[in-house]
Amino acid sequence: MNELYFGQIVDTINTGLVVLDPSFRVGYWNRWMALHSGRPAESVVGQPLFALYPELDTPRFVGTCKTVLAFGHYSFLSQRLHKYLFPFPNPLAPEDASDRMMQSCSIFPLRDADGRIVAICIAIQDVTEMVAYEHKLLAMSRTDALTGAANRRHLEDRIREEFARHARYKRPLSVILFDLDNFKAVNDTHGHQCGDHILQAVAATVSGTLRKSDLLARYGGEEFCCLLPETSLQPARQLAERIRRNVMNQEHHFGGKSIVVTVSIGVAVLDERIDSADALLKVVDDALYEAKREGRNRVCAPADPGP
Amino acid sequence: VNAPAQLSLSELERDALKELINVSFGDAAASLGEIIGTYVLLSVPNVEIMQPEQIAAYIEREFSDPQDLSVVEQYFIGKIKGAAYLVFSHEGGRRLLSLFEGAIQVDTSAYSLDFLEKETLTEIGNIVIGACVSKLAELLTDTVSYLPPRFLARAAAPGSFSGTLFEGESHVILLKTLFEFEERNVSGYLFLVNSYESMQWLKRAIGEFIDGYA
Repeated sequence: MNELYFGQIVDTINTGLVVLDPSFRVGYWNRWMALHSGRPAESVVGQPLFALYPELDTPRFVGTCKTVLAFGHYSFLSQRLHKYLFPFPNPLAPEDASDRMMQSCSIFPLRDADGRIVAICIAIQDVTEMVAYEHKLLAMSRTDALTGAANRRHLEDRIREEFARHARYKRPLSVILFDLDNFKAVNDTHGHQCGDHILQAVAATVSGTLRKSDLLARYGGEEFCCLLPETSLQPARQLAERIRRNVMNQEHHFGGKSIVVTVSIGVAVLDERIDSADALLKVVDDALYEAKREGRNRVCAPADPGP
Repeated sequence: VNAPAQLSLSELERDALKELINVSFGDAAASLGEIIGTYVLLSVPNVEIMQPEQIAAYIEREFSDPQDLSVVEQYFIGKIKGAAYLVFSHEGGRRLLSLFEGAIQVDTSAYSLDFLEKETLTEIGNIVIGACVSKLAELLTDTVSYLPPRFLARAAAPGSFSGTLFEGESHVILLKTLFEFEERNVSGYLFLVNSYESMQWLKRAIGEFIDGYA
């Protein structure tokens, strides 16, 4: 194949191609790069890359390029870790999550006729659309459609993860499980639409009570679970008490009526007697049952194991 | 050891291969050291040739929990052609990861931390495999290209070292590799599953390497 074809291929391919010499000067900048950067090749070729893009001058990027130059391996930069290399505008609609183009990049060596590595090439692929889909699907697979809280599957995944983290680093981990009291009566009296409205409102209230690192999940019909990393029993109990009061003090308005609901709450902290994520859920479920049995609208935690 | 007669290596060839691998891994260590900014030594105390189906049994023997492994797979294509598998115990993988803390920042809003740890290990594996394989190829006057690396699910790992992209017979060069970092020792295994024809080429290239010293 002649060189004329190669020139057409690199300027037509839907991939950014940049050639850098060992001093990080730009040797080649294909049309894809010109289009997305807004910089024509004439204004870029011969320039030091870091004068054009100072944000690329990080130890990791420089180190990666240097090792490719030295050893001739291929380096793949994961979009999931780096998001992007070149700060280009998002080519999709602006309402999309990020204002940057998401990129999957690889860096590989270029050799002269004697096989010596004399430059590196960076290939940039626009994966913005794929990333947007992936994030949307991930979010959907984790979210309860009615309340916007996490769903049970995501809760169970996170509890297992946090349990493993606890086992490794011995950090405290607490769980709150709560249930709307007499919710069947609310549904029977005011209808399911009203019940749904209350579930949404309670989820929003509790969500506003939690920290960003906590997770609220819809565990069952009217049952919710909060996962509280880095939280020991005492602050978890205080938080549970706050949730109980906030829910009780909230008036729900539906169909011209004003409705108040209460919650019963179980609290549990992970300790050495609990050997699995499922066992932790069992302990907190027992505590919730205790709160129900003792008359509802209250917080229960298993007795302190003592010193 | 159980390789067919035409592909078994003599004592001398085996020593030469070990020498080649030690030199290439020395270069790979420099590469790693440059990226993480710490002193790294890669040594290869053991080189063996085996069949792909023997790997699972080997792993069963070497790892206390063979169901809990971190494996990075990467295909390479040159005159030497095959798949590289970098295998750590889960704990070894975590220790390796801790050396790169700070060098890679993670965003946990979309992905779980476990998932990002795998992505990070994949990227580190890419560097280790790329540096080792490229240097080995270079010493044998070959240059290789690569497919993107993949992280293999831990539970599925022991059965999946077959280099499925390549048809027909293949052979494994097993390298038990010790990564010595300034503070933490992390030991890992690198398996190179080579296609049949590239093993023949490798044998010839080793011969030429030996002749160069004669």
